[in-house]
Amino acid sequence: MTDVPAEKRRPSHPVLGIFSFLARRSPLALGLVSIFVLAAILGPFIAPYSMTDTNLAMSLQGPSAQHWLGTDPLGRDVLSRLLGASRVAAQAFLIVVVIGGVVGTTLGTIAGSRGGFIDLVVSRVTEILQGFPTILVAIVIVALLNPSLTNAMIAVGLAAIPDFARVARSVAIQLRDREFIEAARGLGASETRILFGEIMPNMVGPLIVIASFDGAQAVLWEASLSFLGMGVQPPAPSFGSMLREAQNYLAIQPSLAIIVGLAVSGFILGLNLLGDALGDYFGEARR
Amino acid sequence: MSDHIAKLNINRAQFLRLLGGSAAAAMLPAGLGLATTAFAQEGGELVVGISSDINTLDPQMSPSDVFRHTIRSTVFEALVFINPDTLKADPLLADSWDIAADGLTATFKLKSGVTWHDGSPFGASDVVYSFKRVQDKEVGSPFSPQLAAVSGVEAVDDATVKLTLANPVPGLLSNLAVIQIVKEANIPSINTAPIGTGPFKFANWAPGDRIRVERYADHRNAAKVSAIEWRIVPDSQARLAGMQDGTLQMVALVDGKDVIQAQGAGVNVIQTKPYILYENFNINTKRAPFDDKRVRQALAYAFDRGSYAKSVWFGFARPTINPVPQEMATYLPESADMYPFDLDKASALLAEAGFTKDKPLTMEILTIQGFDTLKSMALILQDNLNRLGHKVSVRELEATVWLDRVLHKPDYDITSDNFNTGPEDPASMFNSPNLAPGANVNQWNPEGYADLVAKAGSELDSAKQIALYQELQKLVLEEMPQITVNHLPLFFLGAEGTDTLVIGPSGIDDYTKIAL
Repeated sequence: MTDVPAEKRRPSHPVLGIFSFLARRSPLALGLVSIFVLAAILGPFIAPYSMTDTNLAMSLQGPSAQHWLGTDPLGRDVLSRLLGASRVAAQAFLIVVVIGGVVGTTLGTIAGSRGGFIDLVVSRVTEILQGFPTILVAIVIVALLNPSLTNAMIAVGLAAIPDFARVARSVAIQLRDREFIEAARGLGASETRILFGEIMPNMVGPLIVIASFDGAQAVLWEASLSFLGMGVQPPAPSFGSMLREAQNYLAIQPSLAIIVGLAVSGFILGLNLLGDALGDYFGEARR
Repeated sequence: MSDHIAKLNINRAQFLRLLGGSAAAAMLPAGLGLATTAFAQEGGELVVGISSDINTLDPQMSPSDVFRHTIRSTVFEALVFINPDTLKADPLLADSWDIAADGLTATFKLKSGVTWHDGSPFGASDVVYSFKRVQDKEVGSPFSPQLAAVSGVEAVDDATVKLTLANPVPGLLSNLAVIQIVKEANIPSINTAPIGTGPFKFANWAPGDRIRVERYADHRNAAKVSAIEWRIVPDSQARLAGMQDGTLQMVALVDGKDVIQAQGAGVNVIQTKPYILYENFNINTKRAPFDDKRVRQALAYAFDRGSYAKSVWFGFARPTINPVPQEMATYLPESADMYPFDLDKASALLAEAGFTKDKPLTMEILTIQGFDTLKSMALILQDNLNRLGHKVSVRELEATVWLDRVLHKPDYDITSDNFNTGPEDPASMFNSPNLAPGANVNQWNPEGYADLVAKAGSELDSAKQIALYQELQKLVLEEMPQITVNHLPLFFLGAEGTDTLVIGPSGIDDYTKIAL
């Protein structure tokens, strides 16, 4: 309230504010995540080759002018496949954040703002959900349905619900007796309106931080499940299935495993650094 | 200073060993069953890595288990053993035999002093029971085609068995080599505690994890190693790392990339003649549109066997469309190169059958977990057909699930697969689960096929026999119930001392000579 100069340093628009903060605080995170976001969006348009076309005569090539990152055991272009895999990873991120975010936030907000019996039930249910090992739930769901990206990510999304629910609940509890909520109530606002108009906007910061961490986790789970053959089905590329293939040829073409490994590590590292930086940003903003 | 440099000066094999070892360690959950300490010490326990589990311990029911040789080579025995060098029968439970000049009776003298693992004596009645069990329709043994011509089995005395045949069977001994002898009293518990006469007695089977057999000291040809344990390690890199750090002394049935990487790391490779196995796509010919032979022929044109052999198998495979290898006298000349890779022709045939870009062929190719080349086959065919505008998916299944969907309750379009060629006997291939007229994976049995197989199998005149088998090959190549892709040797990786393993052509090996 008194720190006016600090407020002035920030550009007026909040989104721009976040970007300029990130550029200063963690340029690496911003850079890595931007690369993968661009890869996911533009991948199909900028890929030099089809990501599924096999070319057995050109299998297991190292990086060259023709294939910048080499080719896989069936002669498919690794760069093109990595671009496709980024898109798959981004889809995993979105599915998990949407499921976890929508369901978790709604449950948590209701539980936190209402309290009492509803709170008790929601808290226990999320605790039970949290008790299940994610990979096990994912494997069971995939075994019951069919292996596919969506099914695998629904399972991971379920596992993300408790994280969002707990954060939303704690914010809602902090807010529910604050003056501005009382004021809104006094002015005759309905509970729904208070929920969506007053409480939720105050959760955006912490939820974005959770989303970036859970999203990074989702990318990792997607890779793990595809590594086991339970995620994206062939011929679609995924970080996990590409790593598994690369691993089989470790001594014949090590560059394959190194390149794919670096790509998935870079993506996860970027998301985690981004989460940290966002945490700092919202922490600062709240102070 | 110079010491440090010397320490850094590792060679390529050592570097790869480090690389492979650490990667495998990172990939493998601790529970996979690879203990970190070396298991086999002096006195010799042989630990063998295999890529998938078996489905049954019953030696008369298991022809589609890729690793059926585990139990069949150790716990049980047949009357004869096919020697991989001569491709002729050596005595096993039978000491000698006499086949009548007219080929209609065969008398077997059994070895004396043979005992079952429970100590009870083995005799002619056990052989009679075993043959009758294989022939029993209710049992449904997949080996029954091998005994199709056997009309009578009797125990002449306790050490003599007499077979009566409906017609002469030139390949009789090869057929008998795969019919293993079981004990009637053991049948109720054969799938949990099998009792045989072999050099090893069954110890335990932890499904999905390991199979263990221990030396039977009272065997007439007792084994040198004290036990064999097969560990199921689906990951090929982990198996190779196991060979390098000594947790495994042998890896059974590996593919080209494993051979290349093993050679690079200084691990021995044991291999058989180059035509013991063939890889193929089985087609469910009962299911539309695969009941249309034009669709099946189109699929044959849509797979590039030559490039597949060169890249995925690193040249260790020999491309062919004919499952019968050219080394066999019955081989149909010039047939290996039929159906050359030709996507235009594939497209045209599919169009004839009613499938075009606008009305694409939708199909699913199954493949078995743990068999990387079979998966590559599926992916290559998928890509070629999808490029023609069709909608092909690939589904990788765990081995027992795959068996259910392909063999037990057929519910599949196409699957990649491999099977023994059976070079010791031209009839063997046409009695195999892939091509036997009565029941085969392809569900294919056109009119006249069964008669032709029976006629060829009973022809004693070699010129006529060759003509009949060539006719059969022409039929199979025209009808294309399965698309053969190549011929292969069997590859094993083995530590010092394991090169005395005798790998039999019919899925029965001899482990008794191995001394670690």
